[in-house]
Formats: sequence, structure tokens, C-alpha cells
Amino acid sequence: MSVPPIPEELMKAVTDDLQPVTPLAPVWRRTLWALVVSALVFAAAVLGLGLRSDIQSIPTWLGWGSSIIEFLAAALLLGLALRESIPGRRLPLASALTALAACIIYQLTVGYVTWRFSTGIPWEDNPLAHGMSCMISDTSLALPTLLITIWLIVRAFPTRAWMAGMLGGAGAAIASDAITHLRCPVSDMRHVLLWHTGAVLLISAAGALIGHIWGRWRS
Amino acid sequence: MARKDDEQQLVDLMTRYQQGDVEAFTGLYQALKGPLQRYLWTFVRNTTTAEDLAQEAFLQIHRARHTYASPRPVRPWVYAISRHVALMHLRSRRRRKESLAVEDLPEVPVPPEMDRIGDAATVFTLMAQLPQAGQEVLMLHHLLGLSFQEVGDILGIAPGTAKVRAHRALKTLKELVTQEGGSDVGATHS
Repeated sequence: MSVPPIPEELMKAVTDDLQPVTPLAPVWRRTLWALVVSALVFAAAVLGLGLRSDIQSIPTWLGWGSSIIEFLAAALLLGLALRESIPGRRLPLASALTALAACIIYQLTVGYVTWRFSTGIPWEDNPLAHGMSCMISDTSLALPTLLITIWLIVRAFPTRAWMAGMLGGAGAAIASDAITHLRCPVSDMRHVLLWHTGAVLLISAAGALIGHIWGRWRS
Repeated sequence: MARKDDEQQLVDLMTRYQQGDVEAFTGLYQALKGPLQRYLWTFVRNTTTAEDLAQEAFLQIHRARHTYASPRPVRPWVYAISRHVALMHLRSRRRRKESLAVEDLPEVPVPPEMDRIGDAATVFTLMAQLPQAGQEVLMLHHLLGLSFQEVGDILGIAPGTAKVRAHRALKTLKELVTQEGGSDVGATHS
């Protein structure tokens, strides 16, 4: 089958904008950029805002160790978000949801083990004020990572922008939770589930919404 | 071997296109326009619309050319962008409440394994009765020659799922041919 010549309109659009382009950096390198921002936020929060009052009651492997593992889990989610933003590298929906669920289960498990070591401030002691403070802290600490991840996603060409946004949001939220684990003095599972897991879900949903809106706007 | 050479040629063209070579774009257009239009036909079942969408897909490919990373295969990347264009088109058509008009059949060479089922016209007419997911996998794997891994990367499903979908779609297609009596259906479109 012979191919007809390129339509004039298409050829003009191409030749009008045919400057050389630099291919996007590999996914691992773009993930690293998002992680650098996340690590800076981590360091600033720990140095500037301090650690939880009962940090001495928690073993190092559980305090710092589990935070570092959670940070690595965040890196995985950010990597998946940036992979998803490249055409032809879509992730099966089940894999994305499994990764997100695994991170949440890890967060809850760490919360439970921490509570077994130190109950911290009791849940009954002004739960709403502590909860709101943690929610605001989680969201603010996630924001820089979320913004850079969204920027990296938008620079690519996500064919399912809501999914890339959701994974980016989840990555930013889990990275932020890794910091909060070292800072929040309330170990009660009700607090962890409602405010910290709630924050992860909220930020993931925000990422998905931003992705969805941007995707609609682009098309 | 020929498939590997073709793919390498596409990778070379794509790399030169990213460097601003207009001849490379022309080469890509010549190599991909036909297959792309056939793939887009599965969404709209109308050659003219598929042709318009192929043009729009090439525009989007141009805008997204920086997202291609050599030496990854070019075709899954191209089909993923085209699929996005087709889905956006269908979505806007749904919003405007327009219906699909099945007008004609694409010029597609049918590979031997599908040729055994029936002639090209029969295959394409009956393919339209399959669910969209099955049609897409059949088109990408059996007609356009992509691997199940590549099909999975385009559709966002596991390669195993793509294989199962293709198997089921092929089985349903064979059943449809048996039910309809292949030659009668083919005759209406010859």
C-alpha cells in the first residue's frame, strides 16, 4: 500500500517547530530529582522541627530504620509515577494499587509496632487538635515533593494523567509520613489510621485530581 | 529478523527526528502512517476519521517527541500516543452525543493465522462485534505484530492478561465466523 504525501498542514506544523529536543532523562534519574527535594524537606523538618518527645523509648531500627525504609517505598511510588508519565510504559492498574496498598499496610504496621514500644501522648488528650496538627504537617511536608513530581509528570506525556498524579501524590505522602513517624508523639492506632493514613489517601487523591484536571485541560 | 531490522530503522529515524531532521520525520510518517491508521480504525471504524486521527496523532507525536528514549522500541510509544488521541476523540464525541458510523473497512493485510478464519472483509466485519478490549489486542498483536509485553505496556495491563484477551477474542471471532457463515459476510463487503 503506497503512503500518500504528508498533509501540508501537518508538515507545516512540524517544520515550524523542528528544533532539536533533549530526550527526557531516564525514570531513575528523574526519580532522584524528586527524592533530592524530599530528602531536603526530611532534613529540614528533622533539624528544624525536632523529633518526637519519646524517641528515646523507640529502638533505632524502628525509629530511623523504618523511616528510611518508608522513604525508599516513597521512592518506588515516585518512580512508578514517572514511568507512568511516559507513553507506552503504562502500569497495570492492579500493580499500582498493590504498590499503594503495600505502602499503607507498611505504615500501619510500623504504627502498631511503635505503639507497642511507646504509647506516647494518649489519644484522649485533645485528639482533634493533635490530629489536625498532624494532617497539616503531613500535607505541608508532602507539598514540595508533590509539586516537583507533578512538574516532572507534566513535562512528559502521561496518557493516564490521573494515575501518574495519584502515584506521585502517594509517593510524596509516604515520604512525608517517613518524617512524621519521627516527629508525631501520638502512637495510638486510631490517630495513625485517621490522620496519617487519611493524609496519605488525601494527598494521593489530590495528586489524582490535579492529574485529571491537567489531562482534561491539555486535551 | 526483518522485524528487528525494521525496529532498528525506526529507532534510528526517531533519534534523528529528535535531533531536528525533517527527512527522519518523513521516513517515520511513511513507515508508521498505514499501521497507525489501521489501529485507529478499531476505535472509529471509519477510514476518513481514522485518517484525520492519524494526522492528529502525528501532531501529538511531534509534541511528545522528547519523551521517546532510544533504544526502546518506537512502535509501542507511537501506538500509546495514538490510542490517547483516539480515546480523547471518542470522549469528545460522547460529550456531543454523536454516534459511530461504520462506513468502510481498512486496507489491512491479514496474517496467516487470522487468514485461516476467513477473508479480510469477514474478519474485519466480525471483529467489530467483539468488545473494544478484545479488538484492540487482536489488532495490536495479530495484525500489527507487537509482542504481548508491548501490548501490555500500551494498554496498561499485564502481558499475561493481553495474551488471555487475545486468545478469547480470537476464539470468539472463530465462533462468529462459524455462526455467520464467513463467505456470506465477506460477500457483502467485497
